[in-house]
Amino acid sequence: MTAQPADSAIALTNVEFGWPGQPALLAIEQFQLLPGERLFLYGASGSGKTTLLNLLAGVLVPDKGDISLLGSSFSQCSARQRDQIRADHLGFIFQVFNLLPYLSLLDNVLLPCRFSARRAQRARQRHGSEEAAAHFLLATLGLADPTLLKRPVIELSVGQQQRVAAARALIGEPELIIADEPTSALDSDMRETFIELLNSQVAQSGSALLFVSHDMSLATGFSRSLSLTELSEASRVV
Amino acid sequence: MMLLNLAWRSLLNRKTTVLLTLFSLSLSVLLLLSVEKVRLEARSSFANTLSGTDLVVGARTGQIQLLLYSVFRMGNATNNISWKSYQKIARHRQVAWTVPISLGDSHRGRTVIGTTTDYFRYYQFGKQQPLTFAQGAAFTDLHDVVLGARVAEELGYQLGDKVVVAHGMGNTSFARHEDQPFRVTGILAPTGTPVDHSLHVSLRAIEAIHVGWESGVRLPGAQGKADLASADLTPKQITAFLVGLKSKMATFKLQRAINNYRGEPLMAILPGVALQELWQMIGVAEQALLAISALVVLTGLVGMLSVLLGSLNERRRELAILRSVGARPWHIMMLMLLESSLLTLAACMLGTLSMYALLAGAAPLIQAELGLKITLGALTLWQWQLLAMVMLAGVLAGLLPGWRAWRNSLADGLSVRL
Repeated sequence: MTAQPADSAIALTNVEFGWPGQPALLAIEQFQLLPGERLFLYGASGSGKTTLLNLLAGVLVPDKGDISLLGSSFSQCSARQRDQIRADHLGFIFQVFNLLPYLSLLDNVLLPCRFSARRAQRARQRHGSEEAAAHFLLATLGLADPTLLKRPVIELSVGQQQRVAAARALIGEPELIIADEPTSALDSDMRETFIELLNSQVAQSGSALLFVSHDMSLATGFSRSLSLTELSEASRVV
Repeated sequence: MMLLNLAWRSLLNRKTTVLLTLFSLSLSVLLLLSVEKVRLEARSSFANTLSGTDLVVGARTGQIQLLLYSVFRMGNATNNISWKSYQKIARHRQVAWTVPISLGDSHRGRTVIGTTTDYFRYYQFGKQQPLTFAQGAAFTDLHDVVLGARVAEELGYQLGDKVVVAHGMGNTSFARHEDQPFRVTGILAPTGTPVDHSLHVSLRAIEAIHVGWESGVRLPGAQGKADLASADLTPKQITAFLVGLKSKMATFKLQRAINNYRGEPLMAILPGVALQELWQMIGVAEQALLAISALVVLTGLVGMLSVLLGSLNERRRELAILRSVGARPWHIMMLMLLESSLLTLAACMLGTLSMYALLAGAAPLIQAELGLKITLGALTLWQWQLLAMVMLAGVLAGLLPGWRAWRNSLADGLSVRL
């Protein structure tokens, strides 16, 4: 067990993972994301992106090595504790269909506050109430229109849905935002606007951002960019 | 609370299938409760057929058979008892009253009973309720008849109408006492007992219509009413009689005395005990009915289970989103349990409400058709227990989809691709 510097958002040491009966999919000797850092991680499809995200989320456990989030090592945590860390410190944005169709726009944004007392408390500290925090985030992401807030989420455009998902990931200021191809369903000018908005919001809340995409052209505006193929030795072997 | 809200919203989001499931589950709960209700009412109505009578006496036979033909007017008596024996017992010092019953004739399938006016005084049903007249009065003349409520209603008879009695039982009897028609003098109020389906004439009238019929058919040359003047109309035998005692204490003593009567083989039964025994025989059918409705509930629950399990696949995305915002696997499991519990609870409430609505709506019809009086009361303890069992089964049914969702959410993690 290597002691991790407590001041990294993510730290991977000698991590290996493979599905049972298959060769190792990922083998990462060293990877670190600093607090507040905004990293663009390039990965072609099939390169193990999703697996990496599940490892970072603590849903999957590596075969070897250690992953630590915000200084706490997953290998020393129970599944329960990993769930707690995810709820309190991680915000996710997925490719598409991020929202629960039966909840209102506002309730979708507030979901993390329902599962994490810490995020609910931080939202209240900063904005007075959880609802105020949600309204603030939605407004800065360009969703201030009150008629919009009343519409069922399935009637929103994909771009609007992704911005709601971003607000949900950001509420309660989690230390780490993980975005998995959040722009792949958007058209090109929407893409840039979305990434700009996301970057500025993340910068404002001081969270670290791990932005995963297969589209290299989006890499501008991030503090660092990295290719998963370079990172993972396993892909080089294959 | 938050999970309950999520479960509720998620159910609402799947309105069509959820409503269908709810509908079938409610129907099965409705059936279960209604069967139980009707069973209880039938039992109490059954026990209410006869009251106030201490002993029923007839020729020696099985106690249920005696009860069936004397009280329920079903089947036939194998033997009659002599008028002499009846007189002797009726005069016993412990006996307060007797009501003789003579069977064997019918009118369009309804039993004709030969009796005395004591029938209208002493016969009691339900909680010691006496018979009352809706119209008219008891028979006074030889050819007077008093109709049960349903007889008058079904055959459309009014006071003063003429009624011809047929020899023997059955609707299509060819031997009809056409020469001696009866006149309707009274119609009884409804009782919900076999009395409603009977016609009542005097014992002397039974003798009278059989004058000239000694061989079982009308003898050639018999002149109907004209022969009666010279005939002795004292009954020679009756089928059975009801006995009321001065003191209940004497019941067993008199029963023993009658059973040991030397003149002819007689039998005295306690109607309450015989009713109980008869009900136990019928009870098998009622148990079967209850078992069938329990199976219907089970079918409803299995239906719900298949809907919940079937929805799991299309909901993997939903569950992955919940996981990503911090839901633990047990949250996912609870969500499923809550859904099945909410559905079952709603079905129990809906089923109970519709049972009351159904009973309130159908009570007049049931009263008219079956003579069963349905009272709308609170649920019985057993009905509550049935509901509790359905609830428990519903919650348990949620365990399977809960476990599957829990396992899925561990395997899928945050990454379900559509």
